[in-house]
Amino acid sequence: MDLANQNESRDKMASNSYRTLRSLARELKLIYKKKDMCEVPVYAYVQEQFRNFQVTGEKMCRARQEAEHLAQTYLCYLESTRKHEAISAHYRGKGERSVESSANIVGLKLPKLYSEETAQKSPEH
Amino acid sequence: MASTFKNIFQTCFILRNKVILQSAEKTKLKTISVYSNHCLSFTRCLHNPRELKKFYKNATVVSADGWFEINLDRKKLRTPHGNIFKVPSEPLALAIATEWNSQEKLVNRHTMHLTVLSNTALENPTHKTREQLTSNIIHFLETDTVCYRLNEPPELEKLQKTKWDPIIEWAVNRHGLEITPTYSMAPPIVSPESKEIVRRHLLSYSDWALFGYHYAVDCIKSLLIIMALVDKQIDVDTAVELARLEQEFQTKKWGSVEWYHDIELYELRCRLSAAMLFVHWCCESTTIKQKATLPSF
Repeated sequence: MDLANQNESRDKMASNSYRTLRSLARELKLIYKKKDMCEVPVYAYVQEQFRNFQVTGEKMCRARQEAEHLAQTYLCYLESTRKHEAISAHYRGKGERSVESSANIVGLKLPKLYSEETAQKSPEH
Repeated sequence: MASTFKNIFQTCFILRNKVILQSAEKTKLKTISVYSNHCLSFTRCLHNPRELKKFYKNATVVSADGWFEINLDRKKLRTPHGNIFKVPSEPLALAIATEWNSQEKLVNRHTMHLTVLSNTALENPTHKTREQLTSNIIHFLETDTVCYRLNEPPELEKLQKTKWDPIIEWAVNRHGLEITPTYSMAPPIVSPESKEIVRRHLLSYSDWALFGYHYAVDCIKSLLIIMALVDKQIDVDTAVELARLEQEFQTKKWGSVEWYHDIELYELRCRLSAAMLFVHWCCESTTIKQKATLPSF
């Protein structure tokens, strides 16, 4: 592989890992809702890991792949948990339907029920 | 004293009756909640045992004796049996703290897969030994998803070949397994030597990692895909796609239903990625320990 090609693939890898880092930061921000993310221990840990493996990443060693794979897995975990929550909240049942609304579904109406108020009102009419 | 409270606790729990709750004196209730420390917020739990309101503001990680514990405000997180919750690796503890921090008004314990896995590994509620766990995992190899093929429709047959064959090829080259896919009701042919190879490979993992491994294999019913995933040959998205290959083929043809297919897809991804993180972090910690105990020459 010539040098230009090698540089290109290295850049691609670096940009890939930065993209993962940015997405991880976004997901963590959604959870912690703080302005200063550096105070959050998880984010500090993630950043430290990325910094540690930045140097070895140039040599394409095994740890780099491991670190990146791990970061992507964690990103997948955070993302899919959030999406799963969102979809299930959207489709969650709101408890049992009332008799009236279940009748409504099939296009039926319930007859008016007897109650004392209506019974008292009716002789006045 | 304790037994009477236990009785009250049980009756309250079975009847789930508000009247009992109201009639019980407040002081008694306090003592009950101290007694039943495994249910972190017992009085709230009684109202609706499925729901647990978020009763803390911040979850943090503390280290103690080489283990990592979770603090919810100032209380220690406990396992369902009332022991102190602890994990062997720092990143795992951080991820679990994030899990607790990500809860909003209610604590949805069924979505906290890392906590659930750690609880299982800590207390081993089904009393499984290492050998039982490994043989349970190997059992999935005998009916592995990627070994059950279909002849028709021909597009699906082709898809299965192009997607699943590389996984089997990888297993053959990497571990020297002998496994032949099946096109009928008969189970695929797996040689006894292959099972032995897999058994030895699995036994090299720590106890905690084995629980994660079992959880992962149980999710997608395929040992070969999980082996490739743990070896970092594929990522989680691909693994889930491979496991639901036929379903994905059918939904492309007949349409996907969001409240079934998408929920299932995300849930599988959650479970699988949680299990992978768990396996990785639990392996990592054991290797670090081994290095520390090496005798100096």
